[in-house]
Amino acid sequence: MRIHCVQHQLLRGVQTVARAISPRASMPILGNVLLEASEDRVKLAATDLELGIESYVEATVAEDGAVTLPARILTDIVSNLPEGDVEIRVPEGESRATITCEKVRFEVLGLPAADFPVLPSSDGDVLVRLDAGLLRTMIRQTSFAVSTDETRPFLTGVYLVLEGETGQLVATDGGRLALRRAKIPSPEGGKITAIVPGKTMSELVRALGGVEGEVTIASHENQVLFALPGMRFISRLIAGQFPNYEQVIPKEYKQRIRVGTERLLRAVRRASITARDSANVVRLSASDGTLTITSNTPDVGTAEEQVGVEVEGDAVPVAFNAKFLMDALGNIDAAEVFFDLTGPLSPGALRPVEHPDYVYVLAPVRVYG
Amino acid sequence: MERLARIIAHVDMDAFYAAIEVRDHPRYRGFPVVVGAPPSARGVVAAASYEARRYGIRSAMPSREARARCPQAIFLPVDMEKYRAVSAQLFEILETFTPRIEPLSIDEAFLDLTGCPVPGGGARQEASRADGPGAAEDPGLAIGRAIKARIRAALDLPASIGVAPNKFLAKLASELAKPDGLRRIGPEEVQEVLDPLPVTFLWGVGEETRRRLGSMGITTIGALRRAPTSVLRASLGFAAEHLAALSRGIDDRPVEAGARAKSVGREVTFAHDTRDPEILRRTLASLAEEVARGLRGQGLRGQTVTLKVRYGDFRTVTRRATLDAPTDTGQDLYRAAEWMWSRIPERGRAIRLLGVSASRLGRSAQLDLFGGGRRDRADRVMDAINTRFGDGAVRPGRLADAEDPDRSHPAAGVGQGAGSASAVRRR
Repeated sequence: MRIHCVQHQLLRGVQTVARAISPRASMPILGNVLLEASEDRVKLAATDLELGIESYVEATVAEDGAVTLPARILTDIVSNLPEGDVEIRVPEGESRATITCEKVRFEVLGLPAADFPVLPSSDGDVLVRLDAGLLRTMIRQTSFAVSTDETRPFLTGVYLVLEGETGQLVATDGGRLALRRAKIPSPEGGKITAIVPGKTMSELVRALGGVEGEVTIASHENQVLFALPGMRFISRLIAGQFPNYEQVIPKEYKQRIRVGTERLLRAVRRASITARDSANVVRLSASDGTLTITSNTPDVGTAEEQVGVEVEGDAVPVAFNAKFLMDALGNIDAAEVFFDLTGPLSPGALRPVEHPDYVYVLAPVRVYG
Repeated sequence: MERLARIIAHVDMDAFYAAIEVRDHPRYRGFPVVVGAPPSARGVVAAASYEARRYGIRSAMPSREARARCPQAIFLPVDMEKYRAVSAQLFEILETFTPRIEPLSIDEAFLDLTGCPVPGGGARQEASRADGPGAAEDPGLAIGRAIKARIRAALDLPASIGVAPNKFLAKLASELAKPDGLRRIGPEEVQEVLDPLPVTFLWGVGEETRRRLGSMGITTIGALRRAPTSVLRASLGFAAEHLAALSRGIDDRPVEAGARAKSVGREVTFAHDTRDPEILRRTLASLAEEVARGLRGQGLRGQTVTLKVRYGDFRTVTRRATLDAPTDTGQDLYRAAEWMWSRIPERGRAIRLLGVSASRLGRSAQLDLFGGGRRDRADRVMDAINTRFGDGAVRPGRLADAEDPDRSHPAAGVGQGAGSASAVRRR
């Protein structure tokens, strides 16, 4: 293999795919990045067997070929090379690469490309095409609510629902639930659902950051494929039944509070400083145009803050986990929100005032003593 | 500057539940009284008065067996709420003597009395500074006597108190003083007291260790002390150093004062190392259930679950899992413990000890959108029944195969010291 490419493009590709690598890789080859040269590009790939990321880097290919190189060393080398043209050569039948840039020369020992796990080359069955920016927003607004408790695997992913002209992402850890809806071009076939691992979604959000254009979501056997301009994500899906989330979204409210999102976020953040124990409890109560937010920890101290709001309905004093509130308020992308309360020990809901495409449901905290 | 010799007291109420019942029902005084499950039900003895103990009745014995041993015994139900209230009064009394208190259970605590004023001893006399000319009584003993008198006067209950330079000896002293006694083990008499005692008096010596020592002809603490540590190490591994120190009455563990529980845990050492997956699974389930009850008993919930596995060669691995929300149900703890267990390689190896603990404790309950509440209520009902009729009267289905929780892990060391099967308090 012998190729020439541009240092900063190569670096971007290596950094993108290396995100798939697990720090606790079980086999040496899973700590490596695959480089595969053909036609006018180099394909880079890495995987932890759950998620595979591929990235394509423009290159002048003098000789086809493939090799795998340790991701950490490769990243360190490429990021420290001078800007300019990089040459990578791998002698036929060997897995030792020579990386040259201006007057710099590295020789790196790798492993044969034949040992690298095969990622499906198929484009799969296309499910839907979405604007990259919209997909990024949808994932960002939901994926923070996934469970990190691996004993309940079906909650550790984001639930993707495609039905008619509506696409939906839903995530919950049992204590709160985030749902983002969007109008989408009608998908092929009927209703499609899948639980996509939280890690895949957070890496996808990161990669979508610098991307403009369309993302194609496709399925291939038990995997989901996200094709972005210049890269591809291949992820396993989580087996299991996602809980019946529709029934937990409140349809009515006892009290509706209309409040500035940033104002509420700042108040909750301050109150969380003295919020008690691991449940991070802040108490809310609104009446006569004032929302009062309090917190106390016996050995630490107390906080109280008033926020001017519009209130409809009778006061419903309720306690929530401050983190649950901050996560949602920081991602809701709305100047004002409705905070709907249904009872002191019943779920509350946050919705943007401007549109109905987002809802965040949170279960209260019961405080003893 | 000279470091003060420590003065540690171990306060242990005698037959606590039974003594409270006798106090409140004077007509039972002098009779064998058993608090626990009724003999007609499955379930066990929670406490037995000293009169009942004469018939061989012990706590954790099935109530049915207790009745067989002493048909005329008076059986009373457990009134946990009352005992908790008395316990709160007890700790209030202890706190007037020193702030450095380490509670071990509802009726038992270590007190660090080093430097504490002796009640009625005048301003000059303080603990550990009394051996000048004219010193009346050992200051530790004097404070111990005062504590005992206060408990008697305020609660009308018997207590046994041990006073010594460290926790191990203090606990031993209170044990030797029982019932209703006060005993000091001073530095000068440590060897004289320890040497003739069987090795099982040492903290950490269970059935297996006793057997190993016995095979070397070591049955008393004195014999253990005289055995070269190298010989002990060959047989006991690195437990040898620990036992060698204890046999000399050396124990540096501090009284962990005021430390609110950072974790609640239970662990169990098997009488024989086991690799039987069924026994191990059941043991995990019953440990999870015990930890959950421990949490609920204190009104706490834990969000981090730790599994501890010790192999036959004493190599120990721990695994930790964090739940989405703090829990106090055995089901959640078991699910996490089982999950970690299933991911430990080398599961085929013989296992000596299993432990489950919950940490990141708090009092608030994050409610579940999908209705975990039913499980919650079921646990509370179960606690109520178990409290009323004795531990084990009802148990969740996961434990149904385990005929008797004590039988599936026979060496559950409830006896000696702060060893296994007691609430774990760590930094």
